[in-house]
Amino acid sequence: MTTTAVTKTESSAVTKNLKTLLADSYSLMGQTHLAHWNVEGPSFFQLHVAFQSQYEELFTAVDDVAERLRALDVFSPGGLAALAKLSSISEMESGPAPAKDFVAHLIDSHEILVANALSLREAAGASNDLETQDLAIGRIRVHQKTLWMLRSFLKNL
Amino acid sequence: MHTIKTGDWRRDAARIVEELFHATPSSSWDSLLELRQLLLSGSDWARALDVFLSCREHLEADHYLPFYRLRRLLAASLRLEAGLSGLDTGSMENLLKGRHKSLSDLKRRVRREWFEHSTEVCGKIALHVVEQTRV
Repeated sequence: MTTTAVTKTESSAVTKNLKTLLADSYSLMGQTHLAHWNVEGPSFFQLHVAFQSQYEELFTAVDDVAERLRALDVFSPGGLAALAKLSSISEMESGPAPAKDFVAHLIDSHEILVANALSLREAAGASNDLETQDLAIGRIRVHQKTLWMLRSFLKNL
Repeated sequence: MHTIKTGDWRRDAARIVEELFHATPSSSWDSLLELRQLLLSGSDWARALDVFLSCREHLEADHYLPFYRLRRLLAASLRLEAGLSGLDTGSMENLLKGRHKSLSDLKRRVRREWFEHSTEVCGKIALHVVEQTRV
């Protein structure tokens, strides 16, 4: 008899990497929301709109990552305090800042997410969990594309 | 360009400066070399901050991200002290957000803010740049 059920233990590398990816994605969503609210200056309209599309994408992504954990029969962490403990994304102060600071801060955060997703891709590959690996590859693609856009904004041409 | 964090802020900052050598004109290398050396030696933070502000003035427009990262590291690691006066110099984060071109500029701003709060404050109080003590 074949079974389609897949399970992972709480301590498996795939589970740990999924939880880190979830926490950092959630944290980045919050930081992007903060940037959406507080950005000021001549680039306000374009950045306000760009940040909105980014945090909306992240909202869908955290759901996908959390539900992948559940598909592996592992409970997902949740709640601001629990996720903050797991996250390594630093927080910007709420106050006036040059628009470029918001962009630079988000670049640093997206780079952390790429590193997380790369670790998840490796761990999933090593345990032949191709579905989780597919999720990781998708996240890498999104964060790399966002990094290209954010870095392009900082260019002084 | 992604700077890997080592956990040693001075080394991280020096590495960011090293990355700038690949992207900046040779006319800026002497200043960048001095900044790198000052960061690694940790012996003269006033001079380090002064050189950082000067390099930023000339290079930040084309290299915003490395200077943002350097600013964050310096703001988290250095502070301005007003000797025994106990006067508040404000957060280094806010001071470095300002467009100061030199340490003298930055000190002038602090003294101006003191004066705005009280005309009794002596303008000759010495200001020193020191490294934050890590807990």
